[in-house]
Amino acid sequence: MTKAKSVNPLLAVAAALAVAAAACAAWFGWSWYSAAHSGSAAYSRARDTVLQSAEQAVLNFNTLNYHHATEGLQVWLASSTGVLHAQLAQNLRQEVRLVQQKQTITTARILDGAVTQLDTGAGTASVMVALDVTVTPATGSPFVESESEVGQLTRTASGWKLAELGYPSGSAASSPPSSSPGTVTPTPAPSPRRS
Amino acid sequence: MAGLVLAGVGAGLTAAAAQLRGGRAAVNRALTDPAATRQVIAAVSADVSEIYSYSYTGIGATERAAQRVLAGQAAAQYRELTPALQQAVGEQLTVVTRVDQAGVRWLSGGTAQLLVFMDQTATRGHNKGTSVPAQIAVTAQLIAGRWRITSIEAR
Repeated sequence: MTKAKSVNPLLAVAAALAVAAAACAAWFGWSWYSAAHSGSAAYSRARDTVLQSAEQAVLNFNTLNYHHATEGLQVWLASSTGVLHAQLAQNLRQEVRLVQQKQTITTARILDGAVTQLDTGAGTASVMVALDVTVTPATGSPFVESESEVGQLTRTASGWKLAELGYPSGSAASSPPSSSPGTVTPTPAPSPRRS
Repeated sequence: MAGLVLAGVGAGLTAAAAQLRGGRAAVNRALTDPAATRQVIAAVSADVSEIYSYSYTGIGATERAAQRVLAGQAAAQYRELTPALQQAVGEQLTVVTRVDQAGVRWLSGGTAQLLVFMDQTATRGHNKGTSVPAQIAVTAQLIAGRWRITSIEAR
């Protein structure tokens, strides 16, 4: 009779523990992977990125100092895409001249914002932003205006950018009228519309 | 040894997973839960239009709506507006408020934060005024299955 294979009990326990640990690690790994790659986690992150980008872009579009008009409008260009970007690029010189003539300084403070629509597949989003705009005219004292603005964003290779910016549709200061779809004039920081 | 390393990696990944799931972005159900998002927008928009609309011919209706819709701090704030409503009666003032757009910034555990853009048109006697835009930040809480506005801040 051959001697029965004796198994070192310590080794058996260690092997069992190693298998259990590997199983645990696999489970933890899978749970991490699924959390990181689940549609809803990615979607929530996209929503927060969109809001952050939108608030920064709206802030940029309401900030302009006639001393540095060209640089300021370059920031507008960098914050925009599509029709908004194209229109701005086309009228850049004219805009710079206008700002320099008016000699206004405009600064803004974002108060609140929300994403109202987000299609991560198409790379489009809609946002609404409330802000205070402070305008310092060439003569006279600065004044603050509370603004409601709505925008459309498009995802580009360099992040989410404003494709449209205007006022809410029902607003008296709504711009542009709904009869001219597809063309949205940038909110002109140097020439406030509501007085 | 290998067991320890594996256990360590496992614990690290679990913490990372918990952070991904429980992180601020993930907890916020605004837009990620479209039905709940639509529901709170509809409820708050209807309530805001109602409590910000009043007519000198019947401020009682607005006051009753406020009692039904508001809770907590917002209810106290609204009571402070009672003199303004009385003034409306004296000046034959009618204010119609229409919500133009509302968006949810935060939605989690029965609490929602919304940004509301609205238009207010005031009519004094027979002189219809122009519409004036206004923006408010609203906090709402789900109380006994109903969204009630607990805080309103001008924006």
